[in-house]
Amino acid sequence: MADSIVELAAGSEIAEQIRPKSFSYIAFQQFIRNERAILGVIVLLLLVLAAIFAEQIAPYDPYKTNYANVKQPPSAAHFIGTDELGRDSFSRLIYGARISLVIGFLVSAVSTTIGVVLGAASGYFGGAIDMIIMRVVDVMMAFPLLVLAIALVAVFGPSQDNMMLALICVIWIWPARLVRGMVLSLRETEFIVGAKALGATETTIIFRHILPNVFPIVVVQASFLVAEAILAAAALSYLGLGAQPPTAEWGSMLSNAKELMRILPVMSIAPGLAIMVTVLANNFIGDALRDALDPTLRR
Amino acid sequence: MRLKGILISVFVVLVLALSLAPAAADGHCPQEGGTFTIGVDTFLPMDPNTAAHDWTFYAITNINSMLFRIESGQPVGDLAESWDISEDGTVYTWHIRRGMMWHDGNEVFPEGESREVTAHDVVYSIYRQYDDESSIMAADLRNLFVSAEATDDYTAVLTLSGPDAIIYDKARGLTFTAIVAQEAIEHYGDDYGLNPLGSGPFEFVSYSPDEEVVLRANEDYYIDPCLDEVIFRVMPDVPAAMIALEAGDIDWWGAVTPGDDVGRFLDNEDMTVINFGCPVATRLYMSVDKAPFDDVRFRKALSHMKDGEAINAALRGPTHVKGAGTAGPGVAGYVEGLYDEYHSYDPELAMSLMDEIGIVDSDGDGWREFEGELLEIPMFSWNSDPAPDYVAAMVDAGAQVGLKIRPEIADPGTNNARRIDGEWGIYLGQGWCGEGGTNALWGRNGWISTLGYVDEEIFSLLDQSAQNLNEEEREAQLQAATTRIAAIYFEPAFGFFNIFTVKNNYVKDFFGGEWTLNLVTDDHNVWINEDER
Repeated sequence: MADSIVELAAGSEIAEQIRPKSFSYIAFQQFIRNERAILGVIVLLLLVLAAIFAEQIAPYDPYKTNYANVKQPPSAAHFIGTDELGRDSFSRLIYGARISLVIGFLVSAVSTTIGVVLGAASGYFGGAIDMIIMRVVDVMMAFPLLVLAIALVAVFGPSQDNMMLALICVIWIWPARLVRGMVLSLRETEFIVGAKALGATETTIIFRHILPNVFPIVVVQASFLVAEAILAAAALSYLGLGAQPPTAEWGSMLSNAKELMRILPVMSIAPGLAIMVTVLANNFIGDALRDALDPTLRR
Repeated sequence: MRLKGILISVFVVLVLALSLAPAAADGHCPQEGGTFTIGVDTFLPMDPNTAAHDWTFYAITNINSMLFRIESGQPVGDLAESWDISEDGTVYTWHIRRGMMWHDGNEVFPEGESREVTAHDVVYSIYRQYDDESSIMAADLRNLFVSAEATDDYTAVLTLSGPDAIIYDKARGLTFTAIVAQEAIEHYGDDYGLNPLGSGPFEFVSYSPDEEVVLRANEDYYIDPCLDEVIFRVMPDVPAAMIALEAGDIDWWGAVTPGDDVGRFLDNEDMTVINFGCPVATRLYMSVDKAPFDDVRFRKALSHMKDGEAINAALRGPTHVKGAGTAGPGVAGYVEGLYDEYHSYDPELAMSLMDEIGIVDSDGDGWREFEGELLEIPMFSWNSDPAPDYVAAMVDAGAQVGLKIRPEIADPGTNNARRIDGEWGIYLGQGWCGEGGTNALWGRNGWISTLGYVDEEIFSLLDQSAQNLNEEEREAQLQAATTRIAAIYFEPAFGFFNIFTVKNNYVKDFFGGEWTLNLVTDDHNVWINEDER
């Protein structure tokens, strides 16, 4: 029997193969094997770079009018033409990435944070807290997101900041509901009961034991919320309730371009395409994250 | 054989004459029935006291009778069959048409239980407008009004303190005094605008706010309307409305047609482009009673810092007309050369004027300060195209001279409330036309008086012109008022634009909007040629 025992040197190839892999390592491997995820990351990275280096990339000042050069079709000087005030549409598109991405990531981050805190409190403490938070969520879920956001912007007044505030007010309910459901099942598990038996405080239980288990799913949800926020912001700006002129924002560019639809369709197509590509890239990343972080979906 | 030939020729001529004849005053219609669908971008409740809105008046002028209507610039009888004016021009005696009935089949007058419209209704309607100080009664009429009385059921007498030279003004005069029934006003109260009741050629059927208004032919009208139904379709998305017009989903676009589309429709042989014939201006107002707007040099700087003509030409396309003032070319009171004299593009001059009054960039951040603080001026505007583009153009023009302008774009109601409250800032304005418009805008208690536009000399010139029946003298007084407005206010002008509406050619005997809409009169009766549709 002794002859059959093979001692494995630490760091050897076989040892590496059979060494247990961490959850994040497996998830990462799964993520980078997803082609659509890589495409999404590349597109998003390019957009982020365009947003950061807009001053260097944009050939013209996006706000500079040129009345001798209005409604020009695409040309070497103006890749996607000029608008009704003679502004270069390509430069406005580049600057628009900055606004759209900031709105998407900021709204998603803030609403997810609010949603996680309230959802965790609701699920863990239950009782009156749960009842109040969940009834608010139920009432808000009875309305379509955009309708509620429009109503809130109407109250706050149309502006980019108020639009973001309105979107945060209506989007936090989704992560809140998701987290509450997960916390409800987690708080009954043996390791939480064990932690309680060992005298762990509620803060420790929530932050050390529950939230880390909720985190992967929250990340997936947040990535989808980025896309949702960008789309909702574009819709609100299209309706004149978001970014105000002359801000270069994709939704308001679409709104402006509708009057020129017949003579300069590229003016509508370009910001529309930009919105679509950004949302698609986010959704690809979200899908891949979900596949990678949920063991039941892992291939 | 010869006789037979003559008879055939006579028959052919008769048939041709009958088929080509327009709808006659006796109610004959080449084709009866059909629905006339009118597209507009906005619509308000139809109370003639409060609906200071041209497209809404299209409906009001068909639901309600007016004392007279304006056709091709001339007054023609409606509820008043005729009228006399005293020699000094201060007493109008209106002879009311007999047999005009209020619409029935509604909550106020059940079917078959209507009553005749009388001179007492005319008096009631005039006083209803006069007593309500916020009503749209024209300023000239309000200032001159002494009394209105019914001497019998068919005679109403309007007495003024002086002659009113613009009582027939198609944009503002007595044409905007729709005759209403006291019973209907009392029955519906504040909701009258949602349930209008009149004695005009069409009866109100339904109103879905922001969607549509439906009217049907009033068979008791003294002329039988050729149309069965009139629908006002509210289409805030103007590009979509233009497509609907071409597709025949709407028969007439009654609101402002965008410049690019005007050129296209002019080339379309199935469409007719109709000019309102009264160019309207786009300009800026400001809180002239507050610093720094109270300094004429700053107002002048605001006017010169932007290339108004280029902006207007870019945004209005072929409808753009160069000029400044309330009256455009061809309108009484027009002053040629006003734009070049007061509003030419000169950013260097604008900057030196601001430097002169101490609006300077002292901290080197690229923006000018006033009294030690960043001067950030809110620019108020409504939110439908192309208004936000004018704001964007002003923001850029300001940036070129170091003046920070902050866009404040809101719905028309909020924007209007800011003007009434006299909020500090600059306001985009457009519209107003002709003598009545000049009076209503710049006159005593005028539309922008809340912003501090108060000048006794301008009031006096406008009051004098409104009462002056001598056309040459009146023109001189109006021009003097227009020039003084430019000189003391420097109201930054962009220029004028012509209002064009567009109809499909299968709409017959239609002569355009002209601020009010007359579908059925003694000389016109609009009909639809279904064969051409």
